[in-house]
Amino acid sequence: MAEVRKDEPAHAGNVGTQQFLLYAAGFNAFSQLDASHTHDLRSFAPLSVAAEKEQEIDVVFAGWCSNILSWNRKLWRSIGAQNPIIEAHTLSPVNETGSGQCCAVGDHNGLRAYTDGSGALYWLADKKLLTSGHAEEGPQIGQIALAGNERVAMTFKAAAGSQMCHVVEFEDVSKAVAWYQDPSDPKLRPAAHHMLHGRAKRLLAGTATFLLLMEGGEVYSWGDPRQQSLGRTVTARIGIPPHIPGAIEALGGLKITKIACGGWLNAALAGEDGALYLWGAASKPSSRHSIRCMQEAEPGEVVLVDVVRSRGHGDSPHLVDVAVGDAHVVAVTVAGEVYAIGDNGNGQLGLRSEDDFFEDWQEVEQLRRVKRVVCGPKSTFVVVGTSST
Amino acid sequence: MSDEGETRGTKRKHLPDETRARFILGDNLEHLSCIIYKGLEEGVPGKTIMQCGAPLDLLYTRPRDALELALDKLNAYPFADVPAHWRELYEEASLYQAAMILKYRAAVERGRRNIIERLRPRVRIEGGDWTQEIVAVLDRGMQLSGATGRKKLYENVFQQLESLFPEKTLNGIPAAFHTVTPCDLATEQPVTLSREVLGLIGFQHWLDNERRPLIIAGALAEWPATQLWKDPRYLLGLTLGGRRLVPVEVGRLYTDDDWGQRLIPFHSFMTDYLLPEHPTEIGYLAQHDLFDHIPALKADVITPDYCWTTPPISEDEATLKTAGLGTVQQLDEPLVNAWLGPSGTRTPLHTDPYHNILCQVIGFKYVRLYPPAETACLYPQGIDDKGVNMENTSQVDISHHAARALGRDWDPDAVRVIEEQFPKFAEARYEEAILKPGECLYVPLGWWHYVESLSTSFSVSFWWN
Repeated sequence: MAEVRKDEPAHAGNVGTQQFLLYAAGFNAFSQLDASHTHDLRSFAPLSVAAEKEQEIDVVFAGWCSNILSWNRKLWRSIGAQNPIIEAHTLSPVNETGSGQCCAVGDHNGLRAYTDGSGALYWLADKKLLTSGHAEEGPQIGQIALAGNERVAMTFKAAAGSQMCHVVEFEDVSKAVAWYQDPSDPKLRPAAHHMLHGRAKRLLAGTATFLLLMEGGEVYSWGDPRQQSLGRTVTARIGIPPHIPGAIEALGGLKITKIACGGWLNAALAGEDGALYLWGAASKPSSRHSIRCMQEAEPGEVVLVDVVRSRGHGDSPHLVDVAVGDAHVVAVTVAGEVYAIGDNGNGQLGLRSEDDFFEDWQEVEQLRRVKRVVCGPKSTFVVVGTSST
Repeated sequence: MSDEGETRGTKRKHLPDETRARFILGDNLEHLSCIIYKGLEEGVPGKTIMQCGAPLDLLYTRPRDALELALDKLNAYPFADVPAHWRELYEEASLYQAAMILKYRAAVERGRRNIIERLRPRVRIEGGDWTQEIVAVLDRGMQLSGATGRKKLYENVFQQLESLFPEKTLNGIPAAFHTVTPCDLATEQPVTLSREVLGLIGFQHWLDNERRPLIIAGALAEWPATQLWKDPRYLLGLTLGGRRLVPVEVGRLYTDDDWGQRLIPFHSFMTDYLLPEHPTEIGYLAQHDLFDHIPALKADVITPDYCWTTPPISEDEATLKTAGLGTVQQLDEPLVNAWLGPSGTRTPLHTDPYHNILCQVIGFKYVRLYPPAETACLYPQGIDDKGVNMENTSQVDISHHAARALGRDWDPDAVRVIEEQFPKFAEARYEEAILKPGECLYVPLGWWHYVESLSTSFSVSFWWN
């Protein structure tokens, strides 16, 4: 088992290059993290398929039974239940900034669809990734999100300078794809069409809710209000109805730079001070356990979270990244340390523990120099940077 | 399974009695797990379960992970909208998980360390009581899924478990519920009481001509339940020593914010909510099809003949506007629900889209009924903040008015506030009564009713249309 310590990276990097190493922990019943067995990884281990050096490696899609990695933002490889369905798919060159990022979505059976910033929508059909033959004339898609209740939301790719964001919503992926292929057919119309001011930065989905971050830093939520995970008041008489995007007012005035969500849990990171906000269900509707810092929140309340307070030393560290799984949250500090909380039923917190759940934040002491974190429903990936000079 | 040859037969004779008993229990547990696997293999699974895809691969080796995904999916939709394949997966995976717990427990009884180590992380027994864990897994599988494809197998397993479980001690459980007879109700608008048991023709005559509530005394004379259900130990005996899970509503009124529903062992319901004279909170086993769930109880009740009468077609506008009436199906047989709780359970003023025969088996209940024509004075609710349509429920909390009617301490301020907030409420005409053991109450379709138990109470309702 490889350990990552501050001064002894697991894979010695090439001097003078930026090297990224990918580690993962969690659900492995489909060998989706480690192809050599089917036991869960309860501590972080380097991904063997990710061994190529001098390449920028990233997680394109982190699913329940399969994961998809990319190298230098181009070459894809799937591991787990979808292997080798999406072997070595090559993406078109991707615009690195803003709305141009790749956006892949899927469900318990793996990847279903993605957008790559070019305006085209790709979907998986009969083990192949397809797109429309007339993509140029059709709707130009920005991002796509797929909720656990199968609902799909997509943003339109906004023209340069446009300050209007269009979001369309469908009952499921097949309906979204049918509309994309023939948007003029009135029978295939979206289930909902929303318009917001501003430009979309990131669109995400949890079990039954959508979350949209605008480039101006505002955050909108909509969807199923049952588990109070919209972060705003949705009673019948006040506020915007739950199924229409409404601004999360508790985050008003904060310039949110990153959002994350999974299950009924949501997170937002304010870029300036690196503060983390959480809202939604403190526990899954089915769970006995709950995240302590959220237990006392009122329904819909947004909580400012301190990842180290419970351990009683110093100020809260400046956070640079956060990711959310089905019921776990992982955050990265500016110093490259990792803190995790919540469900550990499949070892997804990587704490080398058999415990099913952590109600308080834990530092993942095994990890250092972490740059980014990505969560699948029951897994966690971290990108460790070893920039040497 | 390969271990069996060694331990069966001659070798066992030399083992101490206690060890031998454990081996035999181990054999029986293993045998039951095989019955489950065989039933799952031979029977036809649900029609749509194949749509689940990848999680099906985990059913045998890691049922807990499949179960967790299925439960997440059950919770991802409002209950009525959950796709059938997720219900079926939950039903199926619960049986696989139960079989795995049995296999694990068999290994523990026989001291098979390898199997114990291999299965321990897959099993996770909450609270350390494997008998409770297996019943909980199965009961959730049956009740939360709402699927019925494996019903026979579930019933078979519950039956077999009865002989495998050690007897649960009934220390501290009394032989009879404590039910204090309340004072008579002094009222000027009583529900009509029929002192003789009406026959079918008499009841049909009431339906056709009166169309009002009616209490029939002595209606339950033939029910074994009127004697048997007085004894908490009898009820525990029929529920695997109280291990079977029952849905319990906790909180004062279902319209309150802190109201919630829990699936808990019947034994806990008994000791935490039903038997204490002053429970810390009110728990109510309400509107539950207990007889489908625990078929042995069915023998104790008799569906009233009244449910086979034909209610006249409602023609008045107020009744036709009853919430939910437009969507109910014609019932082939009555919907039966059990209502068991301590003194002080309350069902807020509401309507049902059915005619109702409410049979009072144990204890006393106060009922107050308002005709459909008074709907405007009762301020039906709208859609609540979770998106649930509550138009069958009145906004008026009449529990203070009920306390006043019953001659108990009541809060004049609360009554005044309610009557200011809902000015037409005080004008609404109503009928009221205390329902006694052995009586049944006919609630016509669309009549608003409020029900409050005045003692430990066990009732059975039959809805028909």
